[in-house]
Amino acid sequence: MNPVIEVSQLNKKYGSVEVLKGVDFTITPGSVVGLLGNNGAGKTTLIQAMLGFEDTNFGYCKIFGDTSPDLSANTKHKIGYVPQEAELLPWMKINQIIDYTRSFYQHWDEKLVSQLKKQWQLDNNQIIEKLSVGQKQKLAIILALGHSPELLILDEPVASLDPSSRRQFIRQLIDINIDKGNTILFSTHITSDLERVAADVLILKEGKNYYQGGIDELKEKFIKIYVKSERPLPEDFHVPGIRKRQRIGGHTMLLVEDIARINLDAIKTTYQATIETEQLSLEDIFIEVHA
Amino acid sequence: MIPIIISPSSGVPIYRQLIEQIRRMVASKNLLGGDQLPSIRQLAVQLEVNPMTISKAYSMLEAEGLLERKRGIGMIVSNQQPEQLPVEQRISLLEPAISKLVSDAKQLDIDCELVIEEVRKSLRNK
Repeated sequence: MNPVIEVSQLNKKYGSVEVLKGVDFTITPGSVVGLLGNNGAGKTTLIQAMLGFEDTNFGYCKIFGDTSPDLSANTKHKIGYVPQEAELLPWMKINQIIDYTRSFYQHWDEKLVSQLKKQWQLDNNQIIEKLSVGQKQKLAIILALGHSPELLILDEPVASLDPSSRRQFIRQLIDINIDKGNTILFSTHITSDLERVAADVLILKEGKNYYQGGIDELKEKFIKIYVKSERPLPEDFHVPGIRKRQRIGGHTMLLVEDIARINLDAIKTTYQATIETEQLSLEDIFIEVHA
Repeated sequence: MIPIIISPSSGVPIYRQLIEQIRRMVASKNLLGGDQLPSIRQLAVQLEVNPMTISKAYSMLEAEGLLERKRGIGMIVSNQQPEQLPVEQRISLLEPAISKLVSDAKQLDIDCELVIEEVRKSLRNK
């Protein structure tokens, strides 16, 4: 299956500041991928470079086979995008901006649009300028879903939504993913939403991809190990794939990237140690890798 | 509606939570041979999780022989349940709960005999 998105060695500098330092990843059709990263990790820059809003210094990004920024009209029609801060025409009424957006597309899902409008209590005659940040975000989501895009790219779509609207939005994403097999890439800080809706995650750290793969695999492999021994572990103690190491009193805490590669019994006998392991939530893993 | 409760922010992957709960429902006869499971879609919508997660759990339970895919119907509980696991394996399923209990008891500084006594009491009451 051809990937929907293919990013290779993508590099982006603002002046002398390197924001993306060679990011590689592919996204296959029908997958739901969460993009995680601290503020300033390069999430928005990555999304904007992918869509061709930003030029890049090295590497490439392909969407449906077209190389950014030269995306064909056909490809653009297959993409739905919700930016972090929706740029909506402030003087328009809700029904006007919906009509205006619809005029750009051959296909428009009336039913979905009016259903979401109702669910999210957006009234046709409201003027955009008067909407709250959350309402604007909802409207931007509706506008991006209207033409039934095959690929949805959302930059922190739920940041300003209240918890119940967030849930509705998550349900909506699951629905369109099941119904139409759409591909969804979205960045967020709310890891519990990602754990529900996304099967895969891409963690950006300091402009590089730190991890790409299944959330399940991440949780099963990234394990915290506490080693407690009579004498502290030697400085040069080593096991494969240590992502973090910390000494807490007599314990050594290790965060390892693949528990299956580590022979815990050997550590127990060699250092006469007791070992405890701890599984982590996505949020815990995220915090650990950034601490 | 099938009474499954998942906690997305747990360290245990969602598909593992699903497998565990379905296994228990079969073991406790809350699900019987021939019973139909919700479709992937229904369960994904009910639990608000990615359908891939549900399908992964179902496939693994199918491979185990606990569930069967029946054409036109979907997933059902196998009529021929695998023999009950040997007691050692069933005990190993308790391992996570035991290690949690042990570490909690240590933190609270409760004597080992007292903990065992409490467990005994609790078992007798069930």
